Amino acid sequence: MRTNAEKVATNNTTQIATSTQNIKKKFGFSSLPYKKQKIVISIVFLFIPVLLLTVLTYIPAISMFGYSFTDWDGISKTKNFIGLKNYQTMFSDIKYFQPLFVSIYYLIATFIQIGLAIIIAYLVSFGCKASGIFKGVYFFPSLVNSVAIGFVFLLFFQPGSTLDAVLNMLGLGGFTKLWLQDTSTNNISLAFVSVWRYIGYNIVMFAAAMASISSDVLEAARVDGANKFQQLRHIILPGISTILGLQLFLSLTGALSAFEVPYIMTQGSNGSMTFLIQTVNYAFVNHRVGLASAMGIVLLLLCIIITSAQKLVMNKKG
Amino acid sequence: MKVRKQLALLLAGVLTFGSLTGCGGNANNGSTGGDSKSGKTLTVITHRTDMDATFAKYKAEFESSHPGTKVKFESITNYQQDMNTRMSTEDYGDVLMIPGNITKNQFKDFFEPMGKIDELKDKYGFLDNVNVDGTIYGLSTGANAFGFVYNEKVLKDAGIEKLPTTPEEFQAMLKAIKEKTSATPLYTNYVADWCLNNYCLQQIELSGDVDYMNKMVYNKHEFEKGSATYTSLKMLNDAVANKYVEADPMTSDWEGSKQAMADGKIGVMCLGSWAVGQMQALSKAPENIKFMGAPAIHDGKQYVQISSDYTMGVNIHSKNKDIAKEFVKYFVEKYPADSNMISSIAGAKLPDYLAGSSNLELVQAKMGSSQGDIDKDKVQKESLININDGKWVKTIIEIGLGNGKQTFDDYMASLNKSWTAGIESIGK
Repeated sequence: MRTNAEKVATNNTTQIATSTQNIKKKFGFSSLPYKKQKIVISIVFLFIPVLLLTVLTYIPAISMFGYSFTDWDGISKTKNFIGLKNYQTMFSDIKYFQPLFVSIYYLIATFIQIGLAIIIAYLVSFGCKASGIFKGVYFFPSLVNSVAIGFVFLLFFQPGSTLDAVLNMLGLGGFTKLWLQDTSTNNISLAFVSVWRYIGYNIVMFAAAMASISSDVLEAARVDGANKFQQLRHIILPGISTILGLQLFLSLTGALSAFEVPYIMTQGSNGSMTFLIQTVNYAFVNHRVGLASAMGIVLLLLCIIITSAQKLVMNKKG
Repeated sequence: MKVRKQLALLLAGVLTFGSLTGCGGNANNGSTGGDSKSGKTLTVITHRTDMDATFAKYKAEFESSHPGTKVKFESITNYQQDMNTRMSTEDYGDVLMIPGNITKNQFKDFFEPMGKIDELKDKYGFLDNVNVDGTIYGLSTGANAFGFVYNEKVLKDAGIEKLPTTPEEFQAMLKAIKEKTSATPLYTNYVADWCLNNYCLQQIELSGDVDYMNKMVYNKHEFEKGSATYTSLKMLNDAVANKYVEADPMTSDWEGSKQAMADGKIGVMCLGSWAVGQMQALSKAPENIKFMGAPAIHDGKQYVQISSDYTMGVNIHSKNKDIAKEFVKYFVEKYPADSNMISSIAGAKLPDYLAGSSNLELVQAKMGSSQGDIDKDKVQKESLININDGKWVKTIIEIGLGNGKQTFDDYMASLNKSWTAGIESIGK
C-alpha cells in the first residue's frame, strides 16, 4: 500500500518529468509548425552557398563597380575618385572594343558546339550501347586542367607536329600551315580547342535532359511513322528547351568573355586578344585597375544585353 | 537513429570547420610568425622557383649562425602579380624581393628603411633603385649587364671576327650566320614576353647617354626615327623581316632555347648577362658562351650598362625587423655568386666575360629624381606602355612576320602618340 507521502512524491516526479518533456517539446525543432520548419531548413541549407556567393561574387563585383570610378593602380594605399573618366577613355577610342571582333569567332564556335552537342547527345541517349562509356569519354576534357590542355594543343599545332602529321597521312599535306602564326587560322584553332574542351559538358547536360522526355511520346511518334530527324526536331528539341536556353546563355556569355584558352596558348598576342585578356593586361601589366574595372562593368552590361535579347527570342518561339 | 543523427551533425561540423579554416588560416600564420614558442621565424619570399637546393644551404648557414631563428623560404612563379595582391594585406613575408612596379613614393608604406645612404654606400652598390631622398629601403641582390648573349663558335664558323659596332653590322652578322652555318642567327623567344623587354633596355648603350632613361619620360619624340628606342626596336623588326630568326616564333620554347644556344644551334639571343651562367651550365664547351653589348661605339669603346636586378627589402609589418635586416645583408653577399650576377658588395670581382675586354666600358644609369620616378610611372600608366614588360614588343615581331595590319612605322607612330598623351597627362 502506498502512503500518501509516497503518492505525492510519485505525482511530483511524474509532473516534473512531463513538464520537462513539455519544455523540451516547446523549444524543440519538432514543435514548430510545418511551415516554419521548412523555412528553418531552407535557411540552414542555403546559408553556406549564399555566404560563398556574396563573399566571392557580389562583394567583388560591387567593389569593382566602385574601383571603376577611381584611378587605382592595384597597389597604392590611396584611391582617387575621378568620376566617369575611365568610361570616357574607353568610349573615346575604338581600340578598346576591337578585341570584341575576336569574340565573334568564339560565338560562331558556340553555335556549332551546341548543335553538335545536341546531335551527339541524341545519338548517345537513344538506342546506343555502352552509352555510359561514351558520355564519360566526351566529358573527360572538361575535367582536365586548362593549362594542361593548352600545352597539349600548343604541341598539336606546332609545325611538323601532330596535326600536320595526320594531314600528311591522309594525303591532305597541302593544307598544312602555321596554325597559330597565320592570322587567318589562329583564332579558328583557338576556338576549336575551346569547343573540344567544353562540348562534353553540353553533351552530358543534354543527355540528362533528353532522358527526362517520356518514352511514350517517342514510341507514339515512331508508330506514326516519324523518322529520327523529325523526332529530334518536333519532340526532343521542345522537350529540352529549358536546358537548351540555359546552355545557350552560358555559352554566349562564355564566348564574350573567352579567356582561358587564348591566354594560355598565345597570351592574346598576334590578333587573338579577347576583351577579357585585354582587361586583365590593363589591370596587372599596365597597373590601371580603375580602367580595367570599367571594362569589366561594360562587359557585364554587354552580357546582360545579349542574354536579354536571347530570352526575348526564345520566349517568342516558345 | 540517435547515433546516426549525432554522426551527421559531427560530419557537418567538421566540414564547416574545415572550410572555414581555409579562410582565416593564412592571416593568422603570417602575423603569429614572430610569436612562435621558441625563437623567431623569418619568411623569405623570392621569385626563384629553381633554387630550392641553394636556398636550403642558406637556411642551414643562417640558422646556425643565428641560433633561435628559423628561416622559411617561399617562391612564387608569377611574382609581381601575386605579390601585389598580397601587399594589399599585411601578410607578405618578413623578407621579400621588391616588385618592380612599386614607385619610390610608395616604399614608405610597404618597406622598412634599411638605413641612410651615407651609412650604406661604402659597403653596398647599386642602391639607386631603393634610394628615396637619402633613405635606403632595400639592398640590391646583384646586378646584370644588358646586351646580347652569343655563342662564339657559331660566329667564328660564320666568319665573323669582330663584334658588330653598328645596327647595320649587326644585321650583316646575322646574315652571315644564316648563310654560312645551320644555326638560327637570332632566337626571339616570342612566347616568353619577359625576354622581349630587353629590346627596350638597350638605349643607354646605343646612345652613350647615361641619363637617357630619365630623359625619355619627357620626350615626345621617343618612338620616332632617330631615337635609340626606335633603333633598338628596328633591329628586332629587321631581323624578323629578313628571316634571321626561328621558323615559328609563336611556338618558341625558352628551356629548349637555352640548350640550343649551349649546343651551338643558336647564334645570338637578346638577354641579360644572368643568362650566360645558365647556358654555360648546359654546354659541353662553356667557354664559347660570351656576352656583348648593344652594337654601338662611343669614343672607341662599347658601352655595357650594368643595372640592379631585384632588390630585397623588409616588410614594414614584420615582427622581426632586426633579424630580417641581418638576413638581407647575409643574402646579398651569398646570392650573386650562385645566380651568375654581379655582386653589389663593394670590391667584388667582376665575372670573366665582363672583365676581359679592354674595349668595354661598364656604365650605370644615372639615378633619377623621386619626382622623375613618379612621372615615369604616370606616363607609362596613361600611355598604356609598360617599358618593363615585353607584351607590346610582340607586335613588332608580328609585323616583321607580315601578320600585322600596319607597318613598323605605323606602329611606332601609334606608340609615339600614346606616349605623348601620357606625357601631356602629367602636364609636361
